[in-house]
Order: sequence, then structure tokens, then C-alpha cells
Amino acid sequence: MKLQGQLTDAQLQPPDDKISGIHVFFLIHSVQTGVGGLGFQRIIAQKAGHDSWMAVLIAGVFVQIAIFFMYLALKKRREDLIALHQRILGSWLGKIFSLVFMIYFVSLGAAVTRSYSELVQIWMFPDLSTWSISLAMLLLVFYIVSGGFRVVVGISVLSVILPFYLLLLLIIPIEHAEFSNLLPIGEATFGQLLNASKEMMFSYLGFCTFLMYYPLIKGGPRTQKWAQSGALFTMILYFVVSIITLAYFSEKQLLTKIWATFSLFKVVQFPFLERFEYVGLASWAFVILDNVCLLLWASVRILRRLWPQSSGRKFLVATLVLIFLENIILSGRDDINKYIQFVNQWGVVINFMYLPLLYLVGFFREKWRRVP
Amino acid sequence: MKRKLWIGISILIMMLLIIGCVRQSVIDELQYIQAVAYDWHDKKHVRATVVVPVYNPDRTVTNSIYQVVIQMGEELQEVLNGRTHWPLVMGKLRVGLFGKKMATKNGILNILDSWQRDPFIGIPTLAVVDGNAEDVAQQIKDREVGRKVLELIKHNVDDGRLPDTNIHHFLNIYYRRNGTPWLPLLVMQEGTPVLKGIALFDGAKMKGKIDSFKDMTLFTIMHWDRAEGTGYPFTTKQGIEGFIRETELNRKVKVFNTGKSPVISLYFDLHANVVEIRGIKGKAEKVIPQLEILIKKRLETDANQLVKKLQHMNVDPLGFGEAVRSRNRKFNAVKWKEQYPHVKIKVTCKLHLDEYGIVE
Amino acid sequence: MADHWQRVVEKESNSVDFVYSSFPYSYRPYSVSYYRSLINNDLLHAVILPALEGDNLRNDESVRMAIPIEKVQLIDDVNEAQSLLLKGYVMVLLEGDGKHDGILIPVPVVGGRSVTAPEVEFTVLGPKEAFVERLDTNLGLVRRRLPVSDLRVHRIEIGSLSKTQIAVLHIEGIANPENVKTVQDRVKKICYDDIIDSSFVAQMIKDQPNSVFPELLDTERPDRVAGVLGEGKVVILVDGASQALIGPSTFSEFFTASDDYFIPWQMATFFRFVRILSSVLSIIGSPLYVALLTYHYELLPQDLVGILIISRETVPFPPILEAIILEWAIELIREAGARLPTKVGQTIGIVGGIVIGTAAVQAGLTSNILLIIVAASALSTFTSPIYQMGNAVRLIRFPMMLAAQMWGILGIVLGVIFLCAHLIRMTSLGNPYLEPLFPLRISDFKDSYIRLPFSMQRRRPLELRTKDSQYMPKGDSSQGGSSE
Repeated sequence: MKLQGQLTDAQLQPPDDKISGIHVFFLIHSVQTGVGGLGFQRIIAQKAGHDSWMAVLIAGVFVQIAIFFMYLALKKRREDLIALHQRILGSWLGKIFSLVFMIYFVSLGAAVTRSYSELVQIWMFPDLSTWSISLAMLLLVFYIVSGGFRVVVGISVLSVILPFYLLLLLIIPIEHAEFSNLLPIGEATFGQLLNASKEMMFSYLGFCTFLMYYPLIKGGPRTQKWAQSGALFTMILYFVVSIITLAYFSEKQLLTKIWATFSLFKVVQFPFLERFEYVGLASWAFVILDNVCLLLWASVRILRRLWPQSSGRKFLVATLVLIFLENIILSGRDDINKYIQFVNQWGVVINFMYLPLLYLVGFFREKWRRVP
Repeated sequence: MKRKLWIGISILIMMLLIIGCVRQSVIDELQYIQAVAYDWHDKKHVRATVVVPVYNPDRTVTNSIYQVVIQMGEELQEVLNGRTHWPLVMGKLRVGLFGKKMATKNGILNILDSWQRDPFIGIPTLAVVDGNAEDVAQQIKDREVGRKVLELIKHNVDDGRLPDTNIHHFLNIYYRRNGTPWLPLLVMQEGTPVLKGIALFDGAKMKGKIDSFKDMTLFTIMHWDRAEGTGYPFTTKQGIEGFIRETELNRKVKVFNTGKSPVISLYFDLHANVVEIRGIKGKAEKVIPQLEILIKKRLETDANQLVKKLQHMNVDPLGFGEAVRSRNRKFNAVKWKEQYPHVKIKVTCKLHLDEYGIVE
Repeated sequence: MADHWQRVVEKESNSVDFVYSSFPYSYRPYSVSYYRSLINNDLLHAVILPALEGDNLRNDESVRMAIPIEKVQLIDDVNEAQSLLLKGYVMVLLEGDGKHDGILIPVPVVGGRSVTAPEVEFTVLGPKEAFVERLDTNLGLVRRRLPVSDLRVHRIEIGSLSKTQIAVLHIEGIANPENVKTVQDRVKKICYDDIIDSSFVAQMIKDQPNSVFPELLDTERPDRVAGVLGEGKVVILVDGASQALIGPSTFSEFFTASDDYFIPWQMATFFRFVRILSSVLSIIGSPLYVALLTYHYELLPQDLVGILIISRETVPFPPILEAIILEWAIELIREAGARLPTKVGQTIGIVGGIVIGTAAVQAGLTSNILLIIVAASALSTFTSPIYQMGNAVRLIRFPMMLAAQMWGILGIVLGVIFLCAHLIRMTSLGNPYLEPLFPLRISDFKDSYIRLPFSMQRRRPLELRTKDSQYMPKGDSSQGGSSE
């Protein structure tokens, strides 16, 4: 008896399996929140001190603009990145640039998993081997991604809803916060703020997976409000967290806290459970995994769009093995940090420079063609 | 293809289960360091006393104590693990005690720094002991040492005799520019720790102390807005003695002339009940306005004296420097340090006595 | 009698309850054959035999008319006759040269249980009747609650041995025809000789045959069936089974009791919350114990650490072994209690529980805190009104404990993620199982994880994509008081 439950390649993307617009909110928001949300406070405070909360807002505005551009580029023809590349850059060049995106997604996925496993090694199990935790996560990712886009979306919805209680716990550090730490406002120079915003953008990255799933959304351009509000929600979240952190720690104290958000959870104590950073760390696996899933789904989708004849599962296994190898090779804090820095630099270039540029090129090409 | 995949996945899962395990630390096979007391040994060494609670089957708790002389910054656990039957863990550290001599001469930064770096350590409460810190660890017999000290400090914080204090608050102030943190000061009296006052730090080294209970409550009133229920004993010039308990407090710091030579005024608006009074009689309507003025004057003199004392020691636990910094974008920390002892700081207050007492 | 009929009779006579007798001296000679155990003997002797003795039975048709029972049919086909004999028909073979060989008279025994109060899904309030094993009675129970002609019943026979009658019910004009078709197609595709119960069908038409979670809700309450039919779902009734199957079902429905509609909505919402929470706690209760005691002493407050250490003072096993032993003991009591007769079962359950529990703690084999946790989580599995869901929860605990043993709370979280992914992947008759959580449909929360008052339940669940989406016609408030 062969029923629907069995997964076939055709079902990896059933043609009419579209998701409704509200899920874009979750997709955008959940892929943005990840490891970055745990330690961004220190990094931006290094650049802009106690004014660094402004950087959160500035970077957030940039993200909004980038999303606006993405809609602008795609909405006319309801196409995805591959079609866009094909149209604007032509078949050959388009393919190469699409592959660049795929590599970017995979390396971002590797960066996310590796930094999470490092986190676990530092905070929870110092003797946990990297391969085992990465393997466990990647097996889960395989299970999720092989279920198709629907399951990836589902995980990102749950990854927003289920760990939400962590946010409520942040009320407790507010009791001990000293808001005069934020004063005087505007001490950082504009240059410092921009520098901090650049660093901040790393924590916002990942949303350009949108370029791949746009055609799978019901409602097309009408979903823009959901995408924008998803990014807005991330911004508000980061803003609140950064305000609390800056008020709770004094400026130089914050510079000693690599994972400031966990340090905030330390103060949470209940009569039945204390030291909530451990609970937070474990729950964060949820937040992390949905990032990896979406990124991997996007990279597999790119490959499948480029080579439609091949099996999607082979691509999936190949990318997973790639991530696994990257995870094992990266060892030591310095290596990981350098790698993450590198990937993030590329992310900023791709998201905030390449995409608007691509749009403009396409826009003008269209104009020229129409004129004669 | 599919079957191969599933076989592969099962093998991977088995592999995880068999060799992916991590070292266990089963709850009843550990020794929890609950309190550590550090004392002066010599310039480079400190004497550490570690208190580990032992839970007996009859539900009583006794303290087992280990003492060791270590170099500053040396790993305490490593040295002590050779002596204990189960591994020592720092994860439940609640109290850090420092002898006065050690706090003054060695400074406590080395220790605090290693504590805040260790992700397994939570937020312990710290205190300075006037005398030897090891006495506290060794003389308490009736309860767990860590718990007893912690509860002593905590209920005094809750009742408003002491501002909130723990390692986080200490380091928070320490890392400010010119951070001059403070810690509660304990003293051993007849086998029990007694809250005596406040130990004042310059950086991470102890510099002085406030050792009267009265000044400690005054310090609390001036420190944060949160203190509620703080009691204050007073004796006016006319010889009226009594005790008031605060119900509401508004504290305002104003800084004039922020640039060159700041003038700071600390003003607090205090609502309080009269709990005890001797040496005055009369109807409430008449007495209260009179009392309000008398006590207010007393409060102001005491407070100004305390501030002078702090300025004299050149420590700033009340956060005047922070007040200036948060109002001045060109704040110069070094200059402020020099300025501080001579800065004009004026404490004024307004007192409202709401309740004179239920008996006329 | 023709040869082929002779052979039939001889073959059937191997069964002791087969009766064959001939009446050669009647006006029209005939023979009667039937299974004694399958027919109503009173009816045969009081009505059929006297009618066959009449003297105006000239032709076959008149014989048929003479018998005052409906659905009497004339037969020629041996095979058909054979199969009908087994369904409680009396075969009358007529001598002579009529057009037909004989007639078949349905006189099945009307037996079986009478309608009783529900036992598995008992409710304090509300109707107290439950389905029985007879399909017609069950259909009657449903029809009485939905006296509309739009209630369509589609019959399918499956099982080469059991010849089980299956009725697929839906309300025309409400139910999504696609769902109806899916059910019918899948039921028809079942290829298994012996269908004994509705749970066979439920397992065979599942979307994910390898999932431990039930996909079709099984209920023994006709009121529940009537309710979901009105919602636009499809119901499967199986002859010989006292449980109806409802599909497509969502995860939240397995935590819904009929009680929820009989009490005010605030309470209903609260109780649903309690049920879901207790199921969650039941899954992570003992794993959490294992995780905290094996790895995360930091998480426990000092007082609790003291209590736990004292309670584990004499326990020689690591927490995982301790937990597995105790969970095993609880499963033991539960299985034994389920297998034994009711009265003995209760006694054994209580005695076993108390004796084993107390003795284990006193002997120092387990800590009493774990005993509390395990007992509480065992109790929690019963809060799901649907027994199958309780079973699933019961099973999941064990892999979760392993995960906890491996990586502490991180292991538990990874396990939970796997569960979530699994639930998201699941579908019931092609409809998402985790709805309204995913796909997120805010309006469907009104009667899933929470229950809002009836006045807010104007629309049928979006999930079912019903043809008629309104419970109440527009502008016609059931309270009647709201005029504009």
C-alpha cells in the first residue's frame, strides 16, 4: 500500500503547495534571529559604547530598505533569484552568481551550526565533541528539509512561538538595570554609529533566502507588509534586548561578556529552577536549527533550479556533508571568529550592495530595451 | 537508494549514542563549593577556606571545610580535588568572603575575574569580613555557611538596610570609569556573622569602611531610590531621640556647572513614620511640623558628614561621578578623580512624617 | 433438487450448525436450509414456515409474495446463495419446474449489545450513549441526531474473509468532496482479508503509517460524531466495531473532550490547557529528572539539591537506570491492570502501585521524588480524552529519556524539535495535522487549543475547506436578541 506519506522528489516542491502570506513574517523573523542575538551587544558596544542601541535601529532600517528592494526586483514577474539572474545576467553569468548565493547560504549555515556547537562547548559540555553535536543537528536538519518547504516553514513558525518565553524572562534583569548607563545620549560620533551598524547587520542576515521562496508564497506582492513587519519585529526585539543589556551592564563590564544575552539570564531565579542561561542555551537550539534548515533548503533549491533533472535528496546530502566537514575543520575560537567574520562580510556585500545593484542593472536594461 | 539512506542514518544515530556521550556529573556524587573565604597569607599567596555542605541521611546539613594556601589566580579546584572523595564543583557557589587584610592588600579582582569568566558560576554574593574570613567559614555550625551568610545579607537588602549587592553589582560599579564599588562588611561575634557596615573599595582594593549601623542606613537612603522600609535612628540637638521608618523616597541628583568645577546637589524627598520617640510631648498637629524640621536638620548634617567622609577617602560609592558623567559628554575621568575630594556636594532633604503613632 | 444445489447443501452440512430439512408433502414441495446460529429461529417457525405451507403458491413469484418479510429475493446463482446464507438468510429451494430455483429470506438474528453508556469517553454531563458493534444501530444513533437528508452514507465492503461493511458518512453541501473522495478511495484500496475493528481501518488508511500518533480520531460517542459531521468532517463506521473514525483530524482535537462543549467556555479552555500541559509534562517529566540529575546540578536551587541528594542517598543506580526501572514498573502495573478483569485489575493496580512504590523507595532502589514524577506523568497520559493519543505519549517518553541521558536538556530540546518536525510533517487525509499552529490560521484557534463561546463560532474551521463555511446564517444570531 503506497500512500501519500512516502516522500518522493516530486513532493519536495509540489506545485500548488503554497504558503499563505502571514508565514513570511515568521520566515523573515526567524532566520534573522540566531546566534547573533546572543552576543551582538558586546560587538556593537565596542564600536559605539552606550549609544550602540542606535546602531540596532540604523541597521534595522537598512534591512527594511533591502527587503523593499527585493520585492521591487521580484514582484513584477513573480520570479525567484534564479530567474532573475537568468533574465538580467544571462544564462552563464546568471548560473555563476546563483552558485555564489548557494555557497553563501551553505557557509552561513555552517557558521551558524559551528558557533552554536562552540556555545554548547563553552557553557554546557566542555568535553562535547564537535562532530557529534553537529551530526545530531544535521540529522535533524535532514529530517526537516527532506520534508519539503512546508516543514521548513512550520519549524520556523514554531521556532518563533515556542522559545518566546525566554523573552518574558528578560523582565527580571530590568529590575536590576540602571538606565543612567545609557546617558548621555549621542556621545558616539556618526562614524562610530555607522561602524557599529555594519557590525550589527550580521545579526540581521539570512533574510535573502526570501529570494528563493518568494514564488512559493500565496499573494505575491501583497505579502510585503508581512516581510517588512517580520524584519521590524526582529529590530524591536534586538532593540529591547540591547537597551536592557546596556542598562544592566556598565559599559566596560559589557565588553567582558561575550554572550551578553546569556549573562542576562543568569539573574533569573525561580524556586524550582535557577540559572536560566542553561535553559536558554538549550532552547536556542530551536532558534538555530530553523536558520540552518531554511538556508539549506534555499541552497538545495538553487541547485535543483539549476539542474532540474537531478535528485533533490542527493543535493541535500551533499550540502549537509559540506557543512559537516566545515564544522569539523573549524576548531578554536579564532578560526571560528575569522570564518564568521568572513561570511558576514560577504553577507553584507551580497545583501546590501549586490542586490540593489542587480535591481538597478535590471531596471536600466529594461528601459534601454524599451526605448528603441 | 532509500534503504541505503535509512541504513546510513541509523548507523549515524547509533554512533552518536555510543560515542557521542559527554562526561556526567551526577548530582549526588559531587561536592558543591557553597562558600569560599579568602584570607591574607603573604604578598603573593592567599589562604582559601572552602565550605562544602554535607547532606546527612537524617536531613541535617553539616559543613565540611577544606583549607589551602594558593597563589593568587591559581585554580582552587585543581589544588583541592586531590583531597576530596568526589569532584569539587563551583556551580553552586553562593558566597565569597574576603578577609579585610586580604581585600586591602591583595585586592579581590583576580578572584572575581576568574569567577565571572567561569560560565558555571552564577551570581554569588560577596562580603568583606572585618577580621579573618575563615572564622565565618569555621565557626558557623547551625546551618550551611553559604546559606546563612546569603540569607543574612539578603533579608537586610529586602528590608532596606543595605542596597542590593552581589558580584554583578560590584563589577558593574568596578567597570565604570573611576569605579569605586562597595561590599557589605561582616564581623564575627560569638560564633555568628553580624552585619556591621560597608566596606569601601577603590578599584578592587578595599580602602575604608563605614562601620556604624546608622551610617549604613543613611548610605542606603542616599544610594538608590529603591530602599524602602529603611529605619533611621536619630538624636536631635535638643536631645530628642527616636527612630523613623521610611515609607517612600524620591532621590534626585543635580549637577551644576558640569564643565569645569561641578557643584552637585543631592536632594531627597522622604516620607516616614515615627516608630519610637522620647523627649517630646504634645499634640500630633503641633509636634509633627516641629519634629519634621528637627529630624530633617539632623539627617542633613549626618548625610553631609558621611559624604565628606567619603570625599576624604576619595571613594565615590554613591555614584556622583556617574551622575556627572551621564550629564557631560566631555567627561574626563582622570580629572574627576583629582577633583572629587574638593567638589562641593550638598545634601538636602525634605521630610514628611505621615504617622506619628497610634497612641497620643 | 438440482445437482449443483445438492453439492452446496452437502458442503455446508460439514458445519454442525447448518440445518437442512425438506418438506416433500407440502402443496409445493420445498426444502429449507440455513445456519441455525445466524438466523432468528422464532421468525422462521412462526412466520416463514406457515407461509410456505399455504396452498396458493402456484409460481415462484407468489411464493415470494406470500412471505411477509422485506427483501426476499429469488435466486439462481449458487455462489450468491452461499454467501448470503452466511449472512443470516434462509434458503428455500422449491421443487418443481419454476423459473427460479428458490428464494432467499433474510432473517438475521437481531442480537448484540444494546446501547450503553460510554466507557472510554465517559462524560459527567451530556448524552450517555455509545456506539455498539452493529452498524445499523450505530447509523441509527447518528441519524437520530442529524435528521437531514443531506447526511449521506456510502457503503463499502472490504475484507475477503470478514466481508466487513464500512459506512462513510458526510453531510452533502458541507463536507469538502475532496476529503470524502480521499476516504472512499483509501478505504476501497484496503487489501486485507480480515478487518476486525475500526482500528484496522484507521491504521491502514493513515497518511504516515510509521507514525506513533493517531491520525484519525476514534470515538464511541454518537454526539461527537454528529458534531464533527456538522463541522464538515468525514466519519467512518465499521460493522463490528464500536468506535467511529473521524477525519481529517488535527493534533488539538485529540485533547478535546465532548465535555468541553457542555460546560462554559472559560472552563473548557482551562481544561484543554491542563490536558495539553499535562501531556507535555508527561513526556518531559522523567527525562527532565534524568537530565537535571545527570548533568545540570547548576539549574537546581540549593534547597532542591539537598532534598534530591538525601533522597538518592542509598540509590545505587545512575538516574537513567533508576528512571527506567520505575517507568517500567508503572507500565507493568498498567498492562497488568488492563489485562485483568475489572475488579481484580483495580485491586492489583492499587496494591501493585503502593507495594512496589513504597518497597522500592524503602529498599533504596529509587528516590521518592522520582516516584512522584513518574506517577504524575503516568497519570498525565490519561488526561488525553482519546486513548490512542495517551498511548503515543506513553511511548515517546522512553526515547526522550535516552536523549536526556545523552546530552541533558540539550538532548531533550533536540528531541522536542524532532517531535515538532514530525508533527509538522504529518497530515491527516492530506490535511495538515498541526493546524492551526501550522499553517498558522488565527481564526481556527477558536475551537482548537482554546474554546471560545458559541457566539464566536460562526464559521467552520478553515482547515476543512468546507463548501458552506457558516455555522449560522449571516445576520441571524441564535440569541435572537440582537437587533440593529
